[in-house]
Amino acid sequence: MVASKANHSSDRHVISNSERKDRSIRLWGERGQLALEKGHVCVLNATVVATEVLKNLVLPGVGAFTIVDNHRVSEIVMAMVMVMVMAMVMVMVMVMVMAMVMAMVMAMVMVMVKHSERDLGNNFFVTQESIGEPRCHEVMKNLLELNEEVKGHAVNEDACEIIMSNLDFFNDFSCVIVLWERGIPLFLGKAYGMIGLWRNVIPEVCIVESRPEYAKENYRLANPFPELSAFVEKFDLESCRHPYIPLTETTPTPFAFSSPSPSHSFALQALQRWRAEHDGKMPQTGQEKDQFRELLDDFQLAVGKDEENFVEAKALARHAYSPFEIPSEVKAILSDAKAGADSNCQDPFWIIVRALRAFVEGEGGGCLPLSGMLPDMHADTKSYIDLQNIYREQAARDCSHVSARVQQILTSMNQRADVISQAEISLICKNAANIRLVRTRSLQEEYTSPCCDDWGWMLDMPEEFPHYLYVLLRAADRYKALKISLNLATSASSSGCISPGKDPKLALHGHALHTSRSK
Amino acid sequence: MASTDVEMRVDIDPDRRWEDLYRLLSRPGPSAGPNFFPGDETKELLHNLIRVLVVGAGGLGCELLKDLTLLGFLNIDVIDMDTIEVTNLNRQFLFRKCDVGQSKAVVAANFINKRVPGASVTPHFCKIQEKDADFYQQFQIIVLGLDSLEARRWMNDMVCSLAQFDDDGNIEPGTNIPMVDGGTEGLAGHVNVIYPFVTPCFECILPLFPPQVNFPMCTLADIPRTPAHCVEWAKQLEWDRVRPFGDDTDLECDDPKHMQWLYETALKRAQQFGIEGVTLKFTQGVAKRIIPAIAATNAIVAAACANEVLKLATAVSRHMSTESGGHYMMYQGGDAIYTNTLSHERKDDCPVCGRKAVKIHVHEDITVAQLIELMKEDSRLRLKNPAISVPADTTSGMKTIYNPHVKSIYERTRENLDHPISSWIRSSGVELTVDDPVMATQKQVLVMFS
Ligand SMILES: [Zn+2]
Repeated sequence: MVASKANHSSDRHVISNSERKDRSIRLWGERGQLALEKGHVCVLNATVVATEVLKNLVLPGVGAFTIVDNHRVSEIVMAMVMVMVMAMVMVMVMVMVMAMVMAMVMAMVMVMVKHSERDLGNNFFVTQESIGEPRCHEVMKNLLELNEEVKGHAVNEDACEIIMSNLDFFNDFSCVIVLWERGIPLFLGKAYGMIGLWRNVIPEVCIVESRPEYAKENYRLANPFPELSAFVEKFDLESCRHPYIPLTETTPTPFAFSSPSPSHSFALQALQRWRAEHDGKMPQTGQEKDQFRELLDDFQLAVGKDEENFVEAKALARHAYSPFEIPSEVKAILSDAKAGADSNCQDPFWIIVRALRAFVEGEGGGCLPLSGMLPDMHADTKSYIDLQNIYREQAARDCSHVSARVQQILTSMNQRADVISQAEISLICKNAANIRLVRTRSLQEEYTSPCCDDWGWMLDMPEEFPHYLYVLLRAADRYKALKISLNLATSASSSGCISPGKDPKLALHGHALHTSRSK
Repeated sequence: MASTDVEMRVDIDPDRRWEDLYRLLSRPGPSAGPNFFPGDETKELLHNLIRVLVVGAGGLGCELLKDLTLLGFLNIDVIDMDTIEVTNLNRQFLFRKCDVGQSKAVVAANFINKRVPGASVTPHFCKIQEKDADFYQQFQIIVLGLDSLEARRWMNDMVCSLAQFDDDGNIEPGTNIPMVDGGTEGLAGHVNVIYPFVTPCFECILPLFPPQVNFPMCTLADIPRTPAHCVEWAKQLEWDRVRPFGDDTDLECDDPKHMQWLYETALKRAQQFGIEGVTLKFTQGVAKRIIPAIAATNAIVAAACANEVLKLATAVSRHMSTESGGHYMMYQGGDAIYTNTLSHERKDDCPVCGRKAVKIHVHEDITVAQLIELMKEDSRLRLKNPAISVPADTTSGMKTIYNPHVKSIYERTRENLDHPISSWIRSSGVELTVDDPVMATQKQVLVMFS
């Protein structure tokens, strides 16, 4: 059984029952799985939306969940759900939970066609026998069936009393503010007819292993380190001599391409020759870049074959002559106030980022630490493995520089050296080019933002401004709030649900799937 | 058909649970199509008249069955040849540990029938290829929750072949059954609404799903560099050379003994070349081409599919189509969320919905084997293992050139592989008839000599 309360001795936590988790772990890795298993998610109101979110978290094995809901099955409730992720885990791993919750959420936004619910017709996780029973218990019981490792808690209390019920007055929402101040992410979801809304309220989440589809990597071709230059020197492109293949009768040209040389060697040597002929400068203008590529063509002609590794070398050419730019997302993190030299942020992530920044400005010479990864390329085994080791060794050297910087920072903060483990530092160094930071506006900011009053015009141009839906949903909230405060009838048909039949603008949206992200 | 039974069960349903759904179906609205009839007819249609087929009872299938029955589709058939495995349990929520080894279709149907009052889900524990046109013709809407390209192509061809045309070439109304195709991979997915002969069929958009790129043989054989090269070497080359479990035992990736052999063999090779990273889990991933899969993505895609089914069935709102802004929704959940709904074009020379023979240009001298290779590589055809025959003066009107599917015919025809195709095709412009596992029906290929 997985402990629901996470503790910091994370290394002791071993993933059990791994076959069941195989397909998830292949997506978010073992660290992602551990983060999920340490997560504790709280939902307010066990609506269909909330139940779907929980289902999608329980199946892959969230540590624990708590449902706060005081309705009996089949009653009618506000279709608002709040999901809090109380993941008491290291920031750097917690990310995965976030990423997932965000993904899951979309699920419900689209899943649910209805709003104020007759549970049985909408919620798969209540049964006929559940009618009249406390909904939180029924939903919990049926969800726990899905995964015996997950812990569930049901709190049969009014979520609206815990948080205040009026969506339009979020500044009174003390609970929300508490969450915000404690850095606990909050998610809000609603579904009306064919429309849904999902809102992430995230004070700050730092993502280390962002697992991008195309990871950014700097191979330092424009500014090779000595070991890389030495490796490249071994390949004598002038005479097409491959260093590992002795010249014999059977290999008349040493580039007999059963043993091709790695594309890095071509790209780099071509660059070196180009610079030797151009006062040490890089190809800069479009014309110069073309000339550089022609140089690669010459090498290829010398060999007389249309070989895969030359094709790769030409693809690498851009990396060779343009100095690596630190990705803008990473730059923003490095220049964040929390990474400043005078920052006293004690969070391990930010201390390591401070060290990273010092490295970039110092030993790194403008570069991030290497990841140590080398993509596969057309080459003989030995050349490739040697080159791979050269990158790995440099990555280790970079990482040890960053570690030293971390120690300096910890000393300056009068902290013990072992509060940050080597593993944490290595992980960030390895992912340095792909770290991410997510911060959203607070709900308070959103709801007190003064521009809301002028948004009505969007309603007239729904095609150009899909945000009209947002305006309508805010209007629906306000309408509901007004009704609650006037203590109007609360019968089924007037519970604040806007059905497509009533409102042409809402109904318009049913035409085709149409989604939009706004910043 | 259990329609009277269903009606009864709906009637005794005590809790008016469809009230929310009926709110959507009872009133006219501006988003509804011209064929939307708010009121009891539509409800009757949904609960009792429409029969939906869900193809696949896996990650998407479980979600689809839940969503569709909660949307009031009570008559559903589900077909799946697979049995439940432990690795399914991270997302296929209708299954429990004790169900491992049982039929997915049967367990899923039983669960839904128990959980959703009035639901009548009929399971079919078999391959889709075991059912014929008469079976597929019974349904008004077909939803695909498949993970294999081949199965999708076969279903697409089958459903398209059901469409009938009048003498003027117009579709007989109601014979082109709409299909909603869902697919997921990790955090990404798609939903595609196919109206045969109206929107592009799956074959028309096949280029969106490029074939798997294989490692060059020389890399595997001589210069491996990555752990994947070592696994593929063990799988593609070493297994056939060694035949570790006897000459007649083919590699079966679901057999743990075979997998262990692959792992050990790949590991040995990796060590010999100084390559790191071969583990059992890694070996399984490469050898079985495992795609990561989670509940949330399936939920999103299945939900979008189910809503399209509702729109197709009731016209309560326009379904995804070229006219409504796109028939194909792509979903990317990897870096935040991105979705886009777009349209593709129907292909004139689509082998499935183009309604004419696919023309290929070949040199007169090529052998039968070379022609087959061309048909496998042709981006329009992408066949897997075709049998080919030509029109001839025989009682059947055809003569088989090559057929790998029936053992006796294979024995008789395999020597033809090395013969020039011109032994059967005397002149340019002859139509070959092709049978292939990715197609449900025979296809015509027009061979032109160049
Ligand atoms: Zn087509």
